[in-house]
Amino acid sequence: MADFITGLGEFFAALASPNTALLRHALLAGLIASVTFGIVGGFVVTRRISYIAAAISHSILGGIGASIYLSRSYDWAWCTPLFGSIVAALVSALVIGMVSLVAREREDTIIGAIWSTGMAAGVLFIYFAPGPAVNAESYIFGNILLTSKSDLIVTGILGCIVVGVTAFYYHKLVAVCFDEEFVKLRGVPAQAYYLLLLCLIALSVVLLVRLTGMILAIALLVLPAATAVRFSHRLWVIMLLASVLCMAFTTGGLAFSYPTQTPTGPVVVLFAGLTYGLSLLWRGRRAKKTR
Amino acid sequence: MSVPVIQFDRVSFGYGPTRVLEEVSFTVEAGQSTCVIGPNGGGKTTLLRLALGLLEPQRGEVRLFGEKPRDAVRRIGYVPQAMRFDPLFPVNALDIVLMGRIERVRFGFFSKACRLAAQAALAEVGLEAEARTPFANLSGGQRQRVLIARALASGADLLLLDEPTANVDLTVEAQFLDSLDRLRQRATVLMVTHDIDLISRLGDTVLCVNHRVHRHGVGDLHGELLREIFSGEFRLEHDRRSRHQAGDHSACQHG
Repeated sequence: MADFITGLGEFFAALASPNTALLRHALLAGLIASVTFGIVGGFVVTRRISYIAAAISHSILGGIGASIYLSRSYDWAWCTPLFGSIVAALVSALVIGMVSLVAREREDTIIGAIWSTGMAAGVLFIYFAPGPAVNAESYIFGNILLTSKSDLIVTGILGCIVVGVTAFYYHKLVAVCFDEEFVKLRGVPAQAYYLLLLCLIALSVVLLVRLTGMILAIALLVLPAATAVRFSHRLWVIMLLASVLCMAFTTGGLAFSYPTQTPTGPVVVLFAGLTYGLSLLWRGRRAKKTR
Repeated sequence: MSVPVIQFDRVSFGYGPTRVLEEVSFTVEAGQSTCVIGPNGGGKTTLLRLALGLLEPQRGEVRLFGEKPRDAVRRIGYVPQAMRFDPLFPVNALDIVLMGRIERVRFGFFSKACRLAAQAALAEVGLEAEARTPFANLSGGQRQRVLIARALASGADLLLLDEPTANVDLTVEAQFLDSLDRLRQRATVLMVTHDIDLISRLGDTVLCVNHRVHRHGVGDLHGELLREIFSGEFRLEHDRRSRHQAGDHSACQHG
């Protein structure tokens, strides 16, 4: 315990040290991205589309694999894994949305198809990519401590896009989530707004995959918002609370994993899961008392 | 001569090989309150969705205010069944009523006029005190009235209601019927319903839908006719009420 407390002290000292820019980048990226996760997570949880976010996060491996294959095969330096993930996430979101809206295909079937084919394509692209072997593990499990300055800038830009678009279209997005048919009947292009929401989720998932990896990505989108839902009946309050919770989880995860030398992503997710579990117990006890 | 608010002209529609509506023609004039009844699978919901422009007729033509439904969409207020919605969705009554003016959001905000109109609509259905109440905490009847207020807030000239008294508690029904009664003063109403009490109190005419449409006056409805319409397949809401109240009256007395 004493070692852990000493380690925590080292963590805060390291944050102030000029030699540990990566740690500061990780913390800043986590804090900025938390706002995005809180806002988009609010929509994901209340609209009950967390499996769409999960499918998008797994399909990103296809985009990462393709970008590595293309950049190495054709010397396309601009075709970075980040570019590949954004394209794959947006394409997956639009395919899921269009197929369920236009073709009226079962949404769960499409989600399953995008999920598995995206991963399969990614594995094959990485296998056939020329040059040295690719460490797919870093994409699958992520590592927030490898956040560079350019990653930080990208996180900031994507975060600003998500927050700005959500703020501007907040009422319409909420109305589409509550009653898409009614919005359509008011002459508002409800399907376009639903697709916009899926694109916002896709961009958030790209951020998440960079921080926690594709396996754990869905947890940070869903768990803080699912915890917040238990304490408010207003969507904007849920989003605010989820953002604060997410900031606490990422900061707490970094602070815990730094002295204990444990992987940060899983620690952050465990904090989020534990808090969600406690919120279930607390609300359950309160409901029993009021009965 | 004024243009009918709703005009179905020899409309046919089916899902795959199954014909649901066949050569349906009727008109609803301004200010009328029309109830749509019929057995399950008879085409009531299809008729409503055709009127809303959510379905296109395979033959014939639907006109609202002399225009295609898609062009008249902003003059329509639609009130779906409250049970269709996720009761845990985190919005309050005012948020939902404001959705009736969602097309008027400018730069991410509702104007003050929109908020006032929404509050007035809530007052009209007797729920002004519940404006900030979460949807999850409203009763079934209150939720249904919030949806009516949403349609009113849109400033619609035509209200289309889908079984407005379904799942409404009998104890709050009187208040609920008052809200519906006030609707008739300001808009043309077409409602799908199984509720004979509602028809007798609020309906001017009744459209009996069972693949084809027959129009009747409310006073024409009697037990024999209803049995004929429903072909013995359907138990009227009235029968349920009769059993609850152990009263000895039949549907025809409400006609």
